[in-house]
Amino acid sequence: MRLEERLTRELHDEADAHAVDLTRLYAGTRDRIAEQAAAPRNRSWARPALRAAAVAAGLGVVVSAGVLGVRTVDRGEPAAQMSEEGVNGLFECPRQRTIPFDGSTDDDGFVPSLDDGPAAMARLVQAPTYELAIDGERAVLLLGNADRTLASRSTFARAGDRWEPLTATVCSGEPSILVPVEGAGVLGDHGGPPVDQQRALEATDLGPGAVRVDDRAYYDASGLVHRRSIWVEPCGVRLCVSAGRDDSYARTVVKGGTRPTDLTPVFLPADDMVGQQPPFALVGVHDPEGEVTAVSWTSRDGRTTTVPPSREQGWAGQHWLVLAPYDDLAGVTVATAAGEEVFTLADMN
Amino acid sequence: MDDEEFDALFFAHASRLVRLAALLGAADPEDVVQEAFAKVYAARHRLDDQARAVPYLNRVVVNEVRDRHRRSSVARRAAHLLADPDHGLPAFDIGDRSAVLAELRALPPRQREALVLRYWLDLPLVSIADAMGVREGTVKSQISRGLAALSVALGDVEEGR
Repeated sequence: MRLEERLTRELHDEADAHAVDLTRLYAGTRDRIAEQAAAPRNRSWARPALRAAAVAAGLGVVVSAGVLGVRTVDRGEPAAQMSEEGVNGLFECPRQRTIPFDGSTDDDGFVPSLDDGPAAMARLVQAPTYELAIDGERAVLLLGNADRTLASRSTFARAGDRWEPLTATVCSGEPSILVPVEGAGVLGDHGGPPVDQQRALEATDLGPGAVRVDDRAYYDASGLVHRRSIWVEPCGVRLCVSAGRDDSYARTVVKGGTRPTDLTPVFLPADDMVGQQPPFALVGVHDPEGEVTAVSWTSRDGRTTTVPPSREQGWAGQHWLVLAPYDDLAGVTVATAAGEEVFTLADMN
Repeated sequence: MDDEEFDALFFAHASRLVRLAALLGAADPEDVVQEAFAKVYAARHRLDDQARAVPYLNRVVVNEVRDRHRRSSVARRAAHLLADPDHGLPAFDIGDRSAVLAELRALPPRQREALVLRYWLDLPLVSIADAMGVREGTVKSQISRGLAALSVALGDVEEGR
C-alpha cells in the first residue's frame, strides 16, 4: 500500500476512534463564552505609536536619537518574556535578507500578517517579543528574540480594513543560517542563547542512554535565533539520530554496516533551509559487528581527515560522525579488513 | 451571525474540529475547540456566513494547537520510545498501534499540520494554506517534505525487522 493511502487510512481510523460528547462540549463552550463576555477587554492592538530608529527607517519620520515616542507593547500572549522596552530597532545579525511581497519571489518561508493583530503574528512564529508602530496608512512590525534583539522588520500598507504586507527584512547568518561561532566545523557544544534553553531537546525527551553530540544556534526562516541539539542513541541494531528542539525534532536512523548514512537533512531544520545549500554535510557510520577499522573523509583538494570512533558503554560496537564542509566533501572512506571503500554523498544510505 | 446560526455551526463542525485538534497532537482537543468557538462567537459580527466561519475555525484550531505546543514544557516522544505514560501524553494516544502515526508525531509541526489537513481533512491546497497561514507553495513543500521524511523513517523501520 502506498504511503499516502496508508496515512489516509490510519488518520481516519485514529480520528474515528476519538469519541466526542457534543452535549458536554457545547455546554462548556457556552460557559466559556459567558465567562469571556463578563471579563473586561484588556487591550486594543491598533493604538498608534511611533518609535525612533526602526520607524524612522521605514516611514521616513525623522526623530532625534534618544527621543522615543509612544510604543504599543501588548502584554498579552506571548507574555512570559515580553519586555517592557519592546524590540531593539537595529539588526545585530551578520546578514539580513529582504523579501518583497509584490509577487516577484516565491520565498514564503516568512509571511507577516496583521490580520489577527501583532500578538497573533508573534505567536505564529513563536517570537517572544514584538512591537507594532502605525503611522497613518503605514505600519511597521518588529519581531524579536527574548533578549529583544531584532529578528525581523516588516512593513505594511493599509488596504481597506486590512494591512497588506509590503516587505520583510529578516535576520540570517553568513553564509548559511548558522549563528557564527568559533570551531563551527567540529561537532560539539557551541552553546546558544540562554533564552532558548526551555525548548532545548534533552535526554529525557529521547530513549535511555541518548548522548548529545552537537549543540549550536541558528536563525530560523523568520529571523529568530534558536538552538538545535543533535543526539544519538542505540535503536536495536541501528543508531538513531534526533535533531531539533523539544517541540519539533527530526529523527532518522543509521543502519549497521559499512555503508555510511547521509545525515545532512537533519543537521539543520529543513523548513528553514529552503532554497539554501547546507553549510556542512553530516555523515554517520554505525558498526555494531566490529568490521570497520577506520573512517576518514577526503576534501576536493585531496586532504584526508581521519575521524575518531565513538564507543559508548552498553552500546553495541562503535560509530563515527563525520562533519565536513558541504562544498568541500569529496568522499568518505570506510576501511575494513577486506580493504577500503570510498562513498560520495550520492552513494550513501 | 446570530445565536441560532452559531449553534448550527457548532453542531455541524465541533466533532470534526475536536478530531482535527487531536490529530495535530493537542493534549486537550476539547478545550482547544471550546476556545476556537469562543473566538468565533467573539468575532461573529465579522463572520456573516458559514463560508467564512469554517475556514476561520480551521485556522483558529491550527494556531491554538501550535500555541499550546510551544508553551508545553513536556516534549512529545515517538510512540515506540515511550516508557512512561505519565509524561503529559496528548489525548491522541497512539500506543504501539501505528508506526505511521508515531513518525507523523515526530515531524516538524508545519509538516504534520500539512499532512493532517491534506490526508485526513482532504482540504484543497488553498484551504490548507489559509488554515496554516502560509502560501500554497509552502503547503506543497511541507507536504512533500513530510511524506519524504515519513518514507525514510518507515522504510528504515521496516527494513530493520
